[in-house]
Amino acid sequence: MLFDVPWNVIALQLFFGLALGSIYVLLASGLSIIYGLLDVVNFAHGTFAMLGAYAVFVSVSLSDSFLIGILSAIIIIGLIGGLVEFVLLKPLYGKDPLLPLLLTFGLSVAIPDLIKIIFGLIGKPVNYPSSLSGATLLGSLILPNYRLFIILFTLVIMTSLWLFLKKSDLGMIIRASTRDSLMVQVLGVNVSRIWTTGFAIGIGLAALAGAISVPMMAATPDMGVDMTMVAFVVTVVGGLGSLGGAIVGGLFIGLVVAITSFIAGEYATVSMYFCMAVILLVRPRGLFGEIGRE
Amino acid sequence: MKKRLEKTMSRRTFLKGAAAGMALLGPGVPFITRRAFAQAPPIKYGTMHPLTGVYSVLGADQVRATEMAVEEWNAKGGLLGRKIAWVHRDDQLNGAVALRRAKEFLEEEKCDFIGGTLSGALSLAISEFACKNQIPFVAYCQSDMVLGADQCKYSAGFMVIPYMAALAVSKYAFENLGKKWYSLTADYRWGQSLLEGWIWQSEQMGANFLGNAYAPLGATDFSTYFAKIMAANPDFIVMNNLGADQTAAIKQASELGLTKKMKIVCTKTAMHTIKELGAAYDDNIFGGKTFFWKLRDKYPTSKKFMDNYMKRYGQPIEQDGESGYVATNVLFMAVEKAGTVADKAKIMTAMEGLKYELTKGPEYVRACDHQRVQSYLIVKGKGRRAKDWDLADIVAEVPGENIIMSCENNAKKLPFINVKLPK
Amino acid sequence: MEKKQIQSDILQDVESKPKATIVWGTIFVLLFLPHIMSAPLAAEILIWGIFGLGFNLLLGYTGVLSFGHAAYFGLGAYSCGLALRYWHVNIWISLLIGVAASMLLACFIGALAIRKRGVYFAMISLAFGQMLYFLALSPLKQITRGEDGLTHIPIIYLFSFSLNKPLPLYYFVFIIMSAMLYLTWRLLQSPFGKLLQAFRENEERAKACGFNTTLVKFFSLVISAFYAGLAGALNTVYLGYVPLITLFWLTSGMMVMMTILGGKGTFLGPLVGAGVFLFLQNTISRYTPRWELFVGAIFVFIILLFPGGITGTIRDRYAARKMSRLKREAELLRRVS
Repeated sequence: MLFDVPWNVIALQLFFGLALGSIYVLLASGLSIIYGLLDVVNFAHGTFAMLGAYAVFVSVSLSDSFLIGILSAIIIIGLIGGLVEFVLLKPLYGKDPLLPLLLTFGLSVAIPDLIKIIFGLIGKPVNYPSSLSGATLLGSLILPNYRLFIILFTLVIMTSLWLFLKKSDLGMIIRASTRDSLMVQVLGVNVSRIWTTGFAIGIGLAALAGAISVPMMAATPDMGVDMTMVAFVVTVVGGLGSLGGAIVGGLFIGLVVAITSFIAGEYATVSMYFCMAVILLVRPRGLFGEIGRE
Repeated sequence: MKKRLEKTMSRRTFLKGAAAGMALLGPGVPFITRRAFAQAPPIKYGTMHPLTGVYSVLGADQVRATEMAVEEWNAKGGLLGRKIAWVHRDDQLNGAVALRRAKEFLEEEKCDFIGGTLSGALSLAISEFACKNQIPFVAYCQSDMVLGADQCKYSAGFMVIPYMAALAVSKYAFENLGKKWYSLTADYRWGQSLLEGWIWQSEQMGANFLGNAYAPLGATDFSTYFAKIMAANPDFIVMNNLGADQTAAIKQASELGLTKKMKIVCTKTAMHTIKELGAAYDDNIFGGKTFFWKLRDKYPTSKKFMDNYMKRYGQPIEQDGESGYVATNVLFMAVEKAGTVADKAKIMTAMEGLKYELTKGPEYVRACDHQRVQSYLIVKGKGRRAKDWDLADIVAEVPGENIIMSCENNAKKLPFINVKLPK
Repeated sequence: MEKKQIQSDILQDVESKPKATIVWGTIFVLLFLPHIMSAPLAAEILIWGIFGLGFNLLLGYTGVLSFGHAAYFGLGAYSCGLALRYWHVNIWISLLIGVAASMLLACFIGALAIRKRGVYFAMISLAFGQMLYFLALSPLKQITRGEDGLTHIPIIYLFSFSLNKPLPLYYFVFIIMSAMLYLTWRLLQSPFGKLLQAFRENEERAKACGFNTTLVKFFSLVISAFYAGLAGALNTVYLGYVPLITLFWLTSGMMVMMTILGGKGTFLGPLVGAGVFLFLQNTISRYTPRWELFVGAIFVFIILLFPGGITGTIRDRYAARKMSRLKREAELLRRVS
């Protein structure tokens, strides 16, 4: 027991914190890639996560398969992301660096309303896939399967992402472009296409975050706003442009929120902003960020 | 030559025709103008609702209900022989916008009365506006603060005071579901008011309050709160929340298998929440409402009201709309009783003690605090058996008299002001 | 050589030194505004216009984006409200208290964060803004009354006019707005104004000339907080109440949209932006609750095609036309000589 609380309750809290953090990791890694590659702060990141949630709703109603739902969310919304970058963001490169941020802000205002027109105002529910419902017994801990799935699935995705960036040719080019896109261009690579691809990947990750969240809550048009804020907070804590930072930051914030809700529930949201403020003041580049980007 | 003649001809013809026309209309002209002057200007009623934002689905319900009420009155010949002109605007659940709307209603639209809002906080602000400007305001929703007593006499409240909901549901729960309870409360005034009611009732009935978890408004992951709750092992969990928060909380509770071990009691629940949850809102889940369409089986007035609404809009009315319907009707009834539109104070006096039977059984507006005294329902979920709008069964209806505190107590916010809320 | 001289002279002319005629002209037009449109809406446009004048100094003239300016607006609003409700001071002192509180907050945040790069500062300001919102919502509930907002603010009477009535309120705000327009104009003429201009054109060069860019940004921030606090306090007088949403990031977002829409870096940009935005919001929301779709779409459209905003685009067109006219004259001169 610790402070009158049994160990297994604390362990369960930490477990839930990891699950929450995994979703944060997905959100933040997408935002980080986009920022690292394009120097764009995507204010509409949560909006795309919301679109991912709706994509799951639509495909599950059509196919009855959660797997197809997730895949379609990543692919379709990722493609939409690429399109957005190509049509709306590309014309802004080279101009005032605040313009892309402002454009994504405008999107975050307009798109939820569009969803309200198409899908209505009531949230759309998606059930837990039956294969992932129930719980696993681990000693005296009862761990819900879906949360386990979130943690493990995120682990798989992050590992794949890391392998992709480290080992594949495209991954290497993307990493190089993050460092110095001019040099990459000089070397003969079509950087413009890399940027579109990178943006699409980032959006795909956001959509995935929305997609796997949706069984826990309904898909609502306004769910994106909070997700954008969380993505910002985690990215700043972890370090803008650092994937490792997104992972560590995401899990860290997830745990902080979980523990705060346990001790003093009403401060759960404030705790996240507090962490952000502290990091910005004490180590502005974030835990893993590079100096110079800040 | 010919052309000029033709022209002259046509002009003469024109003049002849005009003269003939004038002769025909002549006697009619004074009649027409007299008619125009005699037609009195319409009475203007302005309402505001959240048409954007997370509660827009409920705001839309309020709009439809108000529309139906106004059209019913106009069909009967209007109010005091004058047509009712109704305008409604979006308040965006935003205090600044709501106040701007109120100003517009007063200054631009020259409204005679104001109604609406879905937020208790907004009702408070608009009620104050109504007082400063001496214009009647019927609140479709309210927060903990009782309007009439706290403000001057120009406002009236038509939703239950939050503690009323808590008292009704808690009594039913303690009598039927068990004595050990744990609560999950949205951390804002309304949630806390509900919790106050529950704790007081719990003490009165000797129940066992195991603890409370506050969740910030808009939280999406409740798993971290449920760990604590699971450890405490209550007979039932009380949900003092609404909307998306409630949906997520129940979803996650069922994911964690909680609904198999203990009941869930939502002090206030909404049809769209039940719909969003689908099969997860099963018969282990109880919710409180001020109105549910199945009341039509019990009250003939309810049946008439429900059938009318269903015929018009193709879906049953929600409690927020019902509140608006009653508010609008009572307002017009008070105007009729007072016999005046201009003397606002007289209208409010006429509203005091006004009895009516519109959507449920007989009800009245209490004189001391302009509060509608209405019953509160407890419904039980149907899980997989739910179909279309047959989402729940009514298990109890608690009369308003049983759950509202006396005038003196209400004015002093007793006894709840003495209830110690957990940290 | 000569051509280049003419070019830079023109740019000098049209850019950030607004002519006196623009200032007086605006004041003249605003005098009649409540008779063209609803007086409450007009008053709101002026209030956001004041907010925008200051915000634009920071964004358009200094190049710093703050996404948490609602903190200053809201703090000004609450301070003024508290002063009016609990301390029963007169209106002028209450306004002053609102302004002072905002400026103090700006000093605090500026000292901590102004050194950071644009994007970072934008996010820090957002974080601080949100923190202030959540503090007002829960922990400081005793003072701010949480989500109920601050009510029971007494009606203010000024020279026997009730500021609860739309026209007296409008002209009260109008007088303050005119003073602010004049002040801003003078500020831009002053050495500080010239420094801002140099700063905006080339921050590196200004630094090389020996100017302390951090200090410039800091002062800009505090000055913009002055305007924001004043606007917030006026908003409290206008509404007679302080809603919690005043502190929410949406308020900051609206200010950003208004400024961009109207044209950042131009004198009248924010005022025009405030007018257009509020007018659009008010009008569109009468026909459809989906006004955010239209406003958001218009905003995206503006960013893509007219990043100078309304006044910026007008100014650029004017400059381009003047330039081509002068080019033609120079051509003619050359041919003649």
